[in-house]
Amino acid sequence: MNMRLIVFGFLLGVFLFPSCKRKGCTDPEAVNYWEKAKKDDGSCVYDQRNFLFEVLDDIGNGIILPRYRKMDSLLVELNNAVITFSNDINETNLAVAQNKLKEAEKAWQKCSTFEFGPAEENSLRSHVNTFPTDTVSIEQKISSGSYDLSSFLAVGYKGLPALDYLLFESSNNKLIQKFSSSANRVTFLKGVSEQLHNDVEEVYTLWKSTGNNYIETFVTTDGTDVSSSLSLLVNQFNFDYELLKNAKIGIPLGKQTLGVPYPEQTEAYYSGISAELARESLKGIFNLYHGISESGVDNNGLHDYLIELDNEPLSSDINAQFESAIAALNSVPDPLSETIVSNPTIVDVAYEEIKKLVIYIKTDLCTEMEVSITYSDGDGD
Amino acid sequence: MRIFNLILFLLIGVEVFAGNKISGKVTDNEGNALPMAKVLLEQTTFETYSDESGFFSLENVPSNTYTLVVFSHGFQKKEQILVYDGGNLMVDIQLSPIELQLKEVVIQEQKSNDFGISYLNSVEGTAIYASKKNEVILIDDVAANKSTNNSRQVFAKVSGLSVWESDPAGLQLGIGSRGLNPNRTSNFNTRQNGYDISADALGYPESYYTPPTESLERIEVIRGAASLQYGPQFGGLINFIVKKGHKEKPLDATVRQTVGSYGFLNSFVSLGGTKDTWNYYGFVQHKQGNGWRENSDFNANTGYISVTKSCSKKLSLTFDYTYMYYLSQQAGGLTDKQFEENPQVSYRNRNWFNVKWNLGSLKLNYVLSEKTYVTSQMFGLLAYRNALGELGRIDRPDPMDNRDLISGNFKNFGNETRILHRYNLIKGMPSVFLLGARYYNGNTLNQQGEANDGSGSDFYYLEGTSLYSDYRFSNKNIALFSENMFTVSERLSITPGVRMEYINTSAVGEYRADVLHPNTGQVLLEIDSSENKQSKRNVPLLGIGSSYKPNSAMESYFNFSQNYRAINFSDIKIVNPNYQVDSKIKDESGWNADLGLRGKVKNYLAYDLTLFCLMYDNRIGTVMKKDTITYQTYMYRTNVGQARNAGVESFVELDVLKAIGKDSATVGASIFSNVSYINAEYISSMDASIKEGNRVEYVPEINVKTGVSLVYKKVKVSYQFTYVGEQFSEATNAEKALSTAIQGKIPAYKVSDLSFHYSYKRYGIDAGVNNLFNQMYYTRRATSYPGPGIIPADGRNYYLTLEIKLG
Repeated sequence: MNMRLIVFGFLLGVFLFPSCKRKGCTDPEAVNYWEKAKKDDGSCVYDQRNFLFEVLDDIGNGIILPRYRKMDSLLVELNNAVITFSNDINETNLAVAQNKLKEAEKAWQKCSTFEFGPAEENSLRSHVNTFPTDTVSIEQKISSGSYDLSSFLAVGYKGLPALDYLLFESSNNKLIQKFSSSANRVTFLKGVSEQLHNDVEEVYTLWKSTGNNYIETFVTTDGTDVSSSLSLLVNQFNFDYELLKNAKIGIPLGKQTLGVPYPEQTEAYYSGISAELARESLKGIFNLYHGISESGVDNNGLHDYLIELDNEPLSSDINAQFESAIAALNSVPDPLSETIVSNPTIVDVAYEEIKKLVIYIKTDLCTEMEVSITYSDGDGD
Repeated sequence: MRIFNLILFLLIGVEVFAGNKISGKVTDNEGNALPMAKVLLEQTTFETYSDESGFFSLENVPSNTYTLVVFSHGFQKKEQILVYDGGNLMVDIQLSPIELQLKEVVIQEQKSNDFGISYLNSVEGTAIYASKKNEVILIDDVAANKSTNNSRQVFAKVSGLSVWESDPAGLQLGIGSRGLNPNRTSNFNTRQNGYDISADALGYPESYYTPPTESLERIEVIRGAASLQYGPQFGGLINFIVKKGHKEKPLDATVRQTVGSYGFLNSFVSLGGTKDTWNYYGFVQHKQGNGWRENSDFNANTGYISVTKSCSKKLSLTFDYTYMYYLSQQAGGLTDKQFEENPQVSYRNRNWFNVKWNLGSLKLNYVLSEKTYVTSQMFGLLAYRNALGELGRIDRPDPMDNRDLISGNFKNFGNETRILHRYNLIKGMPSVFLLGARYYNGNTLNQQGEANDGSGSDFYYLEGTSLYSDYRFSNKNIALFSENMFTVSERLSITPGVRMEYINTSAVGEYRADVLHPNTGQVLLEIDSSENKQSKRNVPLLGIGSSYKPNSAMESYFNFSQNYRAINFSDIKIVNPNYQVDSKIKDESGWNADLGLRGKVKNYLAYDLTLFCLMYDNRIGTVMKKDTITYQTYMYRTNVGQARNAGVESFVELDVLKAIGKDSATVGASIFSNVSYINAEYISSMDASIKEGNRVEYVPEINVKTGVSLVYKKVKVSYQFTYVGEQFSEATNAEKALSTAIQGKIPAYKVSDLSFHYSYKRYGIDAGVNNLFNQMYYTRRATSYPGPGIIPADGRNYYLTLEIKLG
């Protein structure tokens, strides 16, 4: 009798636990179907999953891989041009190397966004494009002749910014003089160029289906947790956009230093193509958002996923702001370091338009796509 | 409402008995009357004391078979089986004084009676434990590597505990119950001999000092229902009770020397005894080792002294002092790849941690009358901890720059005073009333800044640099609490309770928020800001429990108690200007409910089964917000969501030989099983990436500990197997590990431990192997110290302890 009482008491207790009742979506067709739910609470959400796979496929195969491929082949060309120049130091060979570098700098703008997976593991962005470069260290390394360019500790004096310095820091005549008189300088130039190609090639190989096939992982990892492809992509989409806003424009303009400008901190300061690179960067981010492939076909991108999630108003806000930002940035002439001094207002307008997009993509878009921003920034503007 | 339904329901099933009585006289073996001897019927609430002439009587006892237990100070405990079927039963009890040669007999009795785990009586001292889920770990019976406080073994029989193994040699204890985070045991109210030992009981409830297991008599664990009497934490109370001096002898000493793998050395010496009205106990312990991993050597010293003066039969005073200092090198975290390659390798050799703890307490016990006790305990802490090192991403090499130093200085003191009164509300039904008050004043100085770029344990800030942050936190807390155990019938008791808390938390400080270049990390601008925040609030907590004992060997208990976790200092501290704290941020709040059944089947099976639900509301977290006027985004710290942990905790232990009717004084065999299932999930969140139904981080669904003990004469061999299911390390439930290794799953793991004990006269040997099959596993992915990254648990290691008792 007592046992029965106790058993009954136990069972009663199970029902007594308030709020422990399982409410949720009871429709097995829904994404958030919960097999344990006893009662439907109207929370069912239907499948965007298949569409998400399409988005990941279009972005992975139509955008990311082709961009890395292009970067990789440009770096082969650049490296060849550097070798040619170092074998025969003359103005023609210098000009070829300079042009190849500019092309590589432009191509990098469209790869910088993908700092997750293999790129993050290898800290590719830091290895390729840590600007402003540390010119003091570069000169030190050249004169000492001792350095390990593959190390992470070398990111301050390697990559594109180091090449930009080495190939553009003086007039061409002076450069030829410097390289002709210093074998160490030539060796360092070749080292940086070769290492740059190695760094990018390594990540590209990790991505390729004929290599380590990260592309397969990327297009098949759905969900919205912090390790999902969508979350990684959205995070870096934001991070790279903020790099554009802060590192490429805001900091040189003095936005983070109480108005004191630092024009020499612009990207590609020595070659003077900073504004053009910023435009390339914005275009790359825009194309990624819309899913526009490298061959120019408008496939599925984050924009289309937003539409699929039924948020037309947000997508049109984002579109409108992208247009304003692109237009404002188009009117900023190069070299940016000079424009910052001569016509700061025009740069400021571009900065403000670029900034306005952040609140949409960093908060609303993330909420809508159910991903969270996991990087922290010390952005004090 | 629903709770009252249950109580009503339980009431209806209870019969009321007419007055019957068991009475008798307690004497010593020469026939002299023994007053103040405690007389009780085991597994019931019937208990009394003998009067001046040694007489006692227990009234209104229902017919049943009982174990009558009688004990008195200085005498051997006596147990006697009583078959009582009504009427007036007379039992005379003779107690024998404790004699030294009896000791071995006593030990043998314990061997066959004790499972290494026990439960608190309904009322002990000035505390009411009736109807609360609790466990008492009897350290003498625990098969464990006591020199390293191996918490996997020490807490093996406490159901549903998660253990973090991130520290060599048990320097820090990391346990959590019911899916609560085990980080430095911060979800428990942690005490030693009844007083707080954490850095700040409310604002920084981290445990840096763990009382050495070798010095302990027992560990009491009370789940969430402890909130009313001890403090509001969700996890409940964990109370380490240090041994007392020998009750008869003036000097009794124990020397233990342990050697182990990886240079482990542990020396422990304790002295204790009783002289006249003084009882004392003290120990010193020195511990050192190189650690299982590279760069993880440690050196720790602990000392303790306790003196009790019995001023009269009614009044005693106890003074305690504890000192601890340790220095340990931190091997840092690992990425998933590094862990796969070799978990013993370390990629950081400049990280250090040191801790100094000074604890003091003065406790007064006063017997106001036969029915009324008073205890008042004053306690204080002077302590610091320093963490020094490079905390950057573990997938990148140490840049060999200046290191970070984070230092905390803690000063706190308090008093807890309780009065307990026994009375009869209904004739013959002893009720117990408890009233308590607590005052707590905690002050923390928290600083962070740059230390040198060397690799030594140089715990000082670099000259000429300004601190990153410099904060003074304080907590003033006043609590009044009361519980009353109403004995409604001889089978049913109901214990309602209430606690009123007043808390005043303040944070005053300055911080330097450098604007860094996102590419180069170069400092673009230094911004110095200051802050002065204060939050005063009153928090009422309610709870009710009921205990129903259908017979002397079984108890079913129910408890509902509210809990909260006060806003921590780190919750309100601002670290950068893009960070805002909700001005109306609330304490995290919720409740624990237990429904359990525990007892014994004859003398061979012990069990405790509990259904529980822990509701955790107002969880504090950070969400991204936007300002549409300035077009800025910022991090906003506020109460973001709600989680619910529900599950089953079970513990069963079987004495195999007794079960098959082959009781023997020389041979014993027992098995135990401790299995818990916890379903912990988010039920709401402001953060869209933490979805409803997402599993709460660091909660394995399945947690199993099981073991077998074999005894032959004075040899005991125990084997323990632990299985912990897969866990997520963060709330979005990341399936894959990222390269920084701070997010991702924690795979399920299995560990085995083997221990051996032998005693001969005054000598004892403990030996064993921890992680017998050398499993490579980890229990956490640290986001910061002691990582960041995967913190591997130790691989196989051996130990050997020799013990000599002197005096």
